[in-house]
Amino acid sequence: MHRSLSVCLILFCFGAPRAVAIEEVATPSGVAMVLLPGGTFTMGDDNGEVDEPAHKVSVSPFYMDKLEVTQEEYQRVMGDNPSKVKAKKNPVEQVRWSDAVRYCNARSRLDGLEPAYDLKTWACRFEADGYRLPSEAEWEYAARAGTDTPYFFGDSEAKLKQHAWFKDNTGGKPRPVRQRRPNAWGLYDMLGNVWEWCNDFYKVDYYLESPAKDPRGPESGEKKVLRGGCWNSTPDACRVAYRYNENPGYTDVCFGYDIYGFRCVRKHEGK
Amino acid sequence: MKIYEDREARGAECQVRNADYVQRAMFLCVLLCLVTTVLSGEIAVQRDANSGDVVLEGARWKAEFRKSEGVVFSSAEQALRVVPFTTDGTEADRLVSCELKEATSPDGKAVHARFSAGGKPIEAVFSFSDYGTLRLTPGKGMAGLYVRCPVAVGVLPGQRLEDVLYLPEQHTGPGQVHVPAENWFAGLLQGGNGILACAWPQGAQVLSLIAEADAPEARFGGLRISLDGKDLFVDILAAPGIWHREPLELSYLEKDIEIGWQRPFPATYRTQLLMKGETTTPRSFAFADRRREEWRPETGAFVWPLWFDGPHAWIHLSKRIPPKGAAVIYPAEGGDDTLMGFLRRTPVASLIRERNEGTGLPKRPRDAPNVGYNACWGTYLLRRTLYTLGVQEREKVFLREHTDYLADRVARIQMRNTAYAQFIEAMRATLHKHLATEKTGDVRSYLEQMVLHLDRVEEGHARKMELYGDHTPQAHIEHVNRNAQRLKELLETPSPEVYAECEKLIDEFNRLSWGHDESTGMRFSMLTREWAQAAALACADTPAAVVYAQEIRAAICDALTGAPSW
Repeated sequence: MHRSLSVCLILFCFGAPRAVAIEEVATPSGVAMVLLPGGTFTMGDDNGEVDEPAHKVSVSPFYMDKLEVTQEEYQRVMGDNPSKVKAKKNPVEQVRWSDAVRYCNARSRLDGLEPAYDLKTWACRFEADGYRLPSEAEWEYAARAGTDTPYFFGDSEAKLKQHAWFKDNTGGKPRPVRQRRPNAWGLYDMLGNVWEWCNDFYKVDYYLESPAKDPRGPESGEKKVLRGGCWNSTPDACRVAYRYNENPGYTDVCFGYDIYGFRCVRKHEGK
Repeated sequence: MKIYEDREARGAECQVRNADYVQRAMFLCVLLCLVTTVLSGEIAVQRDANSGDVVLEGARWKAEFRKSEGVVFSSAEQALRVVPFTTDGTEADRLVSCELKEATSPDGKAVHARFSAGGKPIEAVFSFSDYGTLRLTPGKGMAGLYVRCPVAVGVLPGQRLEDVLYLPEQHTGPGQVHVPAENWFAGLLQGGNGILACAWPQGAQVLSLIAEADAPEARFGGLRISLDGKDLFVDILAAPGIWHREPLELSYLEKDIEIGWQRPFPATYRTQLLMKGETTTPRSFAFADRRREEWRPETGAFVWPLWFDGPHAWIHLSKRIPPKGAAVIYPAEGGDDTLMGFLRRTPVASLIRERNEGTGLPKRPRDAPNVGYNACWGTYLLRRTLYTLGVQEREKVFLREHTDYLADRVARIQMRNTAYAQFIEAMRATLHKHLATEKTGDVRSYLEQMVLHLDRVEEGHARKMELYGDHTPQAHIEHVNRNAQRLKELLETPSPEVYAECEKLIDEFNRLSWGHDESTGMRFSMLTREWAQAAALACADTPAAVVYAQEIRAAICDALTGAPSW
C-alpha cells in the first residue's frame, strides 16, 4: 500500500469524545482505501426492525474501500462490466455475491495478495491478506463512523439527500459515486446508491447469538447480507442499522440486480 | 317443489272431528315435505294467508318477506336486510304486500314485493335461483336499495387490477364512503363467517358503503346502491371462517409462521400485502399450494409469503414483504362460495368475459411443448437444445420456431411500450380537460392528485425507456429481428464452431432485449396499478369524483390488458 495520501483527525463520540486518526492509503493499483481503527460500538438499533437489536460489538482494525467499486474499476479487474446503467464512475451493479467475491480474488491477485475466497466452497479465509467483502459488523462500524444515530449524520431524514442517493433524489437509477457527502471517516456512498454485499449469511436472530468480538455471521444460510440501501430505497432502508438480504448467486436470472454492488475490505496487519 | 297450503285451507280441514289427529298428521306431512324439498335442493315456500308474509327457503339460504320486519335474506347465521329507497332517497318504511310470481329461471321462485316509503309506493321483484342467488329487479318508484349488514371490510374486486380494500378504521367520518365499483363488490361480514357479494350489469349504478361511526367495533353498516333501473344480484357466501383478518406481527420477520386460521374449503384465497421497494400500496397475493421461492425483477429472491399445507395457513414475511398492518384473506375463486363462483352464477360474468375478450397471452407458434416461454426459461431452452448433440438436429424446427417466437415477443413488447406512451399522453389530455371544466374545489383537488400519479407513471416509464438509448421502438425491433435471423441461419448447421456466436446472440436476447423490455412493462404495470388503487380510495369522500375514478381505472385496465399488450 502507498500510505498516507492523507491523514485526518476525526473527533467523534463514543462514550467519551476522543480523537481518531483516519489514514487514507492507495492500493498498488491505485484504489483508495481508508484504514479504520478497531473499536467497540453499539451495533443495531432498538428502534429499528426486530432483526437489529442493539448490542455491543468490537471489531479489529481493517482497510475499507473509500468508494463503492465503480464500473471502471470492475472492468479493469474483470474485463467486463455487467451493469445495467452503463457509466464509468457509477458503482458496478447487477453483480451477484458470487461475482463480488470473484472480483475480490482477482483484485488480490493483481495486487500480489493472497486471495481470501475459496471459489469452490465460497468460504472466506479471514487470515488471508487479500481483499474480501466486509463482515456485517465491519460494514456497520464503518458506516457509523463513531455515531450512534440512525444515520451517520444524525437522525434527520431531511438531511439524507445531502449524504445519499435514494428513492427521493435519484430519478430511478444509480448515480456516479462520490457526489454525496462522505461520513466522518471519509467513506462515500455508504448509504444509498447500491446495496453493498457483506460476507455474512443472513439470519434474523443472529444478533442474539453473535460473538462480541469480530462477529463473522452464521456458519451457513440461504441468503447473504446487504447493507446501506440503494437508489430506490426508502429513507428507513438507508439507516446504518438496516439489514437486507439476497440469494448469493442466482444463475438463471437474466435481468440482473441493478441495485446490488459492493466495496472491499482487507485486514490490517500492523500493530 | 312443494308449496304449503295456506292457513285458510288448513283451517277448513281442522273442522273434521279428529281435528288434533289431522293437524298432527298434516304437520308431520308438512315437516316431511319441507325437509324433503330442502334436502333435495329445491325451494320451499311458506305463505301466511293472514299476514301475507312469505318465506322462501333453499338448502343454504332463506328469504323472509314479513310486514313486521321487511325483507331479510340469510344464509347460515349471516343475515342482511334489504330496504328499497325512492328516487328522492326516501327509505321504505314498511312492506305493504308480497305475492309469489313465476321466476325467470325454471328452478327458481320470485316474489313481487310492494313497499311504502313515506306514503309513496315502491315495487320490486325478488327472484331466487335454486342456489340462492337473489336477483332484484327494481319496479315502480324504486331507485335503489340499502343492504344492511355489518361489513368489516369492503372489497372492490379489481378484475385485472389489484382489489381495493375499504377498512372502516380508515373511513371514520359520518355518512357514506363512495366506491367507484365497476360491476361487482363484496363485503366481508363481521365475524368472519360470511361474505356479501353483489353484481350488476352495465349502467350508471352508484355504490357506497354506509359509515357506522357509533358501532362498538369498527364496521360499515352495509351498502347503498342506486340501480339505474337495472337488476342487482346478491348472494351470501357463508362458511365458518370464510374470511380472516390476521394482524401481522413484527416478530414474524423472516420466519415460517402458521397462523391461527384454517381455510374452510379448498379454493384460491387471496390477501393483500406490501411489497417493499416496489409499491406504497398493498398488492394482491394468492396462497400457494406449498412453500416455495420466487424471484422478481427489481425485487429479488423471496419466499412466497403465503401458502397452505392442507387446510393450515402459513405465512413467511420478509424484507421484501414486511410484516406490517394486517392480512385480510378471502376466497377469490375456485369454488361456489368464492367471489368468482358467485359472479359466474350471474349474467355479469359474461359481460366481463366479453369485455376482456382479445386479451391474454398470444397463441404459441405451434402446438408443441416448450415453445412460447419467455426470457430466462425460453433462452435456457434454446441453449439446452442447441448444445446437446443429437437433440439439435432432431429439434431443428423447435429451435427455428422458438427463435421466431422470442423475436415476435420483442415486437409485441415494443408495441406495448408505444401503447404505454400513448396512454400517458391521452390520460394527461383527459385530466387537463376535466380540470378545465370542473369547478368544484374538492373534485379539482381529486383531479390534481390524479395528475401527480400520472406524473409518477410518466417518470417511471421514461426512466426505463432511457435504457434503450437512441433506439426507437422500430430500430429495436429491427435489431432483434436481425439477431433472430442470424441465429436461425446458425441453427441450420449447429456445431461447436457456431456455438460462440449463438451464445452471444442468445445473450443479446436476454440482456438487451428482455431485461429492458420486461422491466419496462413491469414498472409501468406497478405504477399504474398503484394509481388505480389510489384513484378508487381518493374519491371516498367525494361522490362527484367517482365517475373520474371509474374512467381512470377503466383506462388503466385497458392499457394493461389491451390487445397490443401481449
